[in-house]
Amino acid sequence: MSGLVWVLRFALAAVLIFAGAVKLRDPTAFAGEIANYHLAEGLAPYLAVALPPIELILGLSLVLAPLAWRRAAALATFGLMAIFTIAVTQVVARGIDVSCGCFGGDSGPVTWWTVARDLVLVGIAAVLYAYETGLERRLAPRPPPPGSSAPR
Amino acid sequence: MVILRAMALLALGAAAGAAINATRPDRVSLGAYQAPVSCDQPAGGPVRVEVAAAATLCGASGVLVADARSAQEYAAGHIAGAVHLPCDAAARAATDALARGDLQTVLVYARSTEDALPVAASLYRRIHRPEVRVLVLEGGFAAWEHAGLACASGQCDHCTQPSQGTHP
Repeated sequence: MSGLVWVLRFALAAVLIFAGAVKLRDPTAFAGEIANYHLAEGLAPYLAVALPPIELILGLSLVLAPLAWRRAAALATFGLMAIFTIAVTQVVARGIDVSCGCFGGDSGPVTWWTVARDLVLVGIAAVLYAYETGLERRLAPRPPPPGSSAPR
Repeated sequence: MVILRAMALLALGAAAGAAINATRPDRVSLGAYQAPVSCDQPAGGPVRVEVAAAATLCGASGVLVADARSAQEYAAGHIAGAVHLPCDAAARAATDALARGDLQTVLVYARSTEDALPVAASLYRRIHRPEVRVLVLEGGFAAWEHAGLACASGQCDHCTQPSQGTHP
């Protein structure tokens, strides 16, 4: 089980690190892509600046950080991927072509397969979080044995 | 506690992003960022044409004329050969026509120039081919009718059974 979890952890971390690194190369283009989602155009430049390093830090934390921080990274990744999935789903549902931000685009780069891929990543993050939570509880110091207490 | 740590990681990432952005020459200008306008004003976009220029398209090959008005207005009178866009079946026919390799010109008209412009812009983005001209008829159908040019009446052939064809 722990072997499988490590595989999932490395896979998710690799996706995050790769995605973050690619987006970091051209933040202006990334800001344009975010604006093309027509969801929070005003936040596009701020998200473009913040998201790539966030992905990098989460990816590295998933594999390198101590248990408590790995668990937090899994939780943050779960939340992030859930938001990405919602954003991508609304793009596909509204028929937006994100390569130009145009509505009514026939087949842009974002499709239902993108939604499915993001759902898988959400699932992996959820599994990691659950596993780390269980592990943390098992490793937590046991409470001291109860002292003598008067029975009721 | 785990939520706080998660938020701390996000905050750390955001802070790192701000610091990186401040130091790079191709930084994103946070306060004065302009979203790309590739959709709002596509390069080349729909071109307004006067009735006289549009009339030369009558009977020309590779031309699609699109009526963006209501079904009642279309049935009462429309440019001969025009497809009624709001009708789903006609929209599918229009989509097929737009995909044709020999399409050269799309002429969009409505009740007025202003009504036709957003429809033409949407079609222009859907077509995505620089060799296809998208035109907007200045003055709408009223201008065409006033000029005494070829009109037809009856419901759109694609929307109903072709019991009412076009007639001059």
